[in-house]
Amino acid sequence: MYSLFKKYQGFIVISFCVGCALISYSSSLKATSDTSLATRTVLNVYEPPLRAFSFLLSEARSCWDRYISLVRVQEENQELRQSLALLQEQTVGKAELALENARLRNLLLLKQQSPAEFISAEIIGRDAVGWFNTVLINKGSNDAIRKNQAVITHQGVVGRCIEVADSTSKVLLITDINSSVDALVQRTRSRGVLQGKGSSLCELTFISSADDVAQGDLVVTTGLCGVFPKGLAIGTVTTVEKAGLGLFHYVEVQPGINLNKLEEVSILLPHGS
Amino acid sequence: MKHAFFLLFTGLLLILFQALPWNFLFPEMATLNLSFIIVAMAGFHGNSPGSWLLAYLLGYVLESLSGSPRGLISLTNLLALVIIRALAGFILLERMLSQVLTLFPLCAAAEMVLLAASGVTAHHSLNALMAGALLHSGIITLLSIPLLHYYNKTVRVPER
Repeated sequence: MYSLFKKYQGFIVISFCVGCALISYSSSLKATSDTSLATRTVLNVYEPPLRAFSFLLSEARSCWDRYISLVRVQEENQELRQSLALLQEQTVGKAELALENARLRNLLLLKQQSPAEFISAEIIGRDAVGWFNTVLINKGSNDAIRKNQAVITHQGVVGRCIEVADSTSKVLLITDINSSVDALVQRTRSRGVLQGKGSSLCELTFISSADDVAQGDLVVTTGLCGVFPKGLAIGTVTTVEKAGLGLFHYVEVQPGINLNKLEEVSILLPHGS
Repeated sequence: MKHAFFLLFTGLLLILFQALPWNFLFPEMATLNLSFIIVAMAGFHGNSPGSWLLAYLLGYVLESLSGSPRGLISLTNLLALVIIRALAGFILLERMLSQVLTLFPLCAAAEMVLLAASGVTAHHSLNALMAGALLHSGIITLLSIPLLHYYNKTVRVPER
């Protein structure tokens, strides 16, 4: 038996490797709920060095920003003071509106929307192959993160978790070709599906030729895909090519966040987790 | 043994480098698949079962740290190894020039496979994407020269 194995050792190893690769390729086409043990192990093993590198780089960057690159700081300070004063004025008005909204909701017996719970995470790694758009974050199943949870920032939608290990997770960005988000144009309520284009842009598909969409329109989530809550900002329309004789417009959307320079994100947790 | 450890360690280190510092230092620049150099190096120097396992392992790790479909990079690596071993029957792949001349087209082919799998071809000009893939392959090949030189002179020679 051993001599037979020794004789065909090369053939057995090659067949094993090719077989494993084919099996994992065919299994990747199925939507499974859990991340495989092998993938979890790889992510867990790579997490400490990635976290260490990320820490060192962010410290070096913050050192540069705080102590060396201080050009225009005074002007920026002035601008920030002005915008703070403006925001304080707006906050007073918003508080009044919130109180009025709560009163009207009570009046109509509508269910109050409970505030979403979320946890913050840092980006510790980016896609190791250039043609895909994913990032690694430093929070995983130990922090109550599960597959398909929404990842956002204060500026809008980032993506969703696709692989979760103990202390790290992989996030599929909205710009990836495999990402689809149910979205609508805020001004006209025209509904479509936001798909990544593999670059820094997205395309809002299935916008009917009868719908009115213009450059600069804000695109938000509909809350129908079951991943993102309703009304989260995604980005703005940058290009609209009218359908002509076709059924749908070609609508290009620029995400509200520069996903290439993203450093921190928030993960929305299901209520009560 | 030294040969296998060198390749494994360097491959895993290059993948780590691909996943973080490269992207943070140059956020607007595309990531290069540097671990492919290691797969090619494993093929240049013999047909041991370890080379096949290494190609598969590096592919799997890379898939785990990227959005690539599972199994695709492993299969690409294994296919590259098959081609290298087939070529080794015709040309002597222990010289730097033949190694570099083999690496470039193979790397370009691997990039094209990933390009097609990523689906970006549906939204962008194919010519521009192919030019990008060729540019990546050129840079990877250039970066491989010092590594191949070091490996051929320092690690591989004492094992012969």
